Amino acid sequence: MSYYSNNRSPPPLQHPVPTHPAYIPEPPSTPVSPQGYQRYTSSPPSQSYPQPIPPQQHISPSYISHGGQYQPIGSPPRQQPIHGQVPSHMPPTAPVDFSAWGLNDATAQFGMQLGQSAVAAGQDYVQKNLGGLIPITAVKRYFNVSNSYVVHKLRILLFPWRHKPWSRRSRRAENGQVELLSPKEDVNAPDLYIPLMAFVTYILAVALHFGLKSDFRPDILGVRASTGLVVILLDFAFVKLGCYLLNIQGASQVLDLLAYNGYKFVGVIVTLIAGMLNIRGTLYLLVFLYSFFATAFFLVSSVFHSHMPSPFPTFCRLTRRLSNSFTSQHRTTVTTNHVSFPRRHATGCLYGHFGMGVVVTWLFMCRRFPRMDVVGYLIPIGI
Amino acid sequence: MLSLGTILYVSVLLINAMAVLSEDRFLARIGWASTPVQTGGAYAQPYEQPGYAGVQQDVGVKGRIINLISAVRTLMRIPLIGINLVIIVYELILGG
Repeated sequence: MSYYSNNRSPPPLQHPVPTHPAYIPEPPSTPVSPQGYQRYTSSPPSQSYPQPIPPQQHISPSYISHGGQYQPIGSPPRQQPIHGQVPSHMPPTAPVDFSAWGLNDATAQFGMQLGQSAVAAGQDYVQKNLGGLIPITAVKRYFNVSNSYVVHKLRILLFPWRHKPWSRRSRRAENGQVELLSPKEDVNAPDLYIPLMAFVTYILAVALHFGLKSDFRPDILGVRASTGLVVILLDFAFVKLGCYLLNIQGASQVLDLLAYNGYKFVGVIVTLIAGMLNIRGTLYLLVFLYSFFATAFFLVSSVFHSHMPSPFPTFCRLTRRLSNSFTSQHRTTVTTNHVSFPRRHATGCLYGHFGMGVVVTWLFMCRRFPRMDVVGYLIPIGI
Repeated sequence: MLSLGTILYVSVLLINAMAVLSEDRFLARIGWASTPVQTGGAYAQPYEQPGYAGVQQDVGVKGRIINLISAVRTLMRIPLIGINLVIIVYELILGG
């Protein structure tokens, strides 16, 4: 770079100009930016697929395009509907012009087409066989979040005491069924974005913590991820078992339960960061207990108040059954002195959580100065 | 550390334990034998319709645990043979 060591002005910027510009019909509302650099999205093959589609699109946005021709900001959102339709209408045998990439050779073109058809066939196979395993449309509903939702939800997770309406809002859909709102419209709706991000951040925070102690080994990433997955799995199994044993119906949406289980990682990260800031002793214990109780309160409130489309709230039956057991217990303890508690339904899912948390907290306090990695492992189980 | 493999082994061992329990020597002794189906003995008695609807709720935790154990024993006896074989072969060859 000795060119620029003396005080000359830098040479003018040159935008990359495609050497063999393929014929790409101008999408109706794309502005013509300087020096022929037309596209805002990246790859040519997806550009040439709209060849069958824009003839229909030309009619309606052509009125808009005259006004929006030279607005560079307006183009990406308007290009989205066109490209949003492309993956679903992708014809597998569309003639693709690869000359834009400089691949003029017929063999290379044939190779690229073969690769594309192979990829499409693979996707079809996966969709057919494994499409039923992970219901993509159902999962998508949980990722329908917005920035304000995430911030608000994190605030509720860390300070749930003052949050007022906990019930999920619902809306009557067109076919008359009641459906619950997605996370973008309703703060109380569970999502899978925050749990997923919190889980990954937890793994990274543990790795950072080990690095600060100069103890980092690459396999702890996998070990921690495995441990975290085991904790989520165990929690899910406990909740399902508790629901079965206590005959609670309507509480069992798998993704909902996974979402609520994942929320506790946010509290774990807070405690871990507090540990990394060299907070020791009583203050660390206070931080741990605060995040413990905040997460517990959040979970209890949100699950208690979330009404499924069935008429009975889920934990109404749990509390009614437990209160029945307790009231009958009072009658028996008047006459006899021994506690009949273990013979009653003490294994509800909330009590399972709480019991685990109590045991782990006891374990945690027995060690005088716990090592940080053990604490990082105990906290997910504790909470 | 607690890992997925550990949890897999633990769950297989627990299900093995549940499958190995003897019905008449052990479960009947402690009163956890799975009860026979209700309609079997109802032919000789008047069939109480309103009582039947409440059976599901009055079974209680113990009844549901008994049902769970008997269901696991019925369903998982044969797949457990295969799973145990796989794990044994794996441990022999790659277990170390």
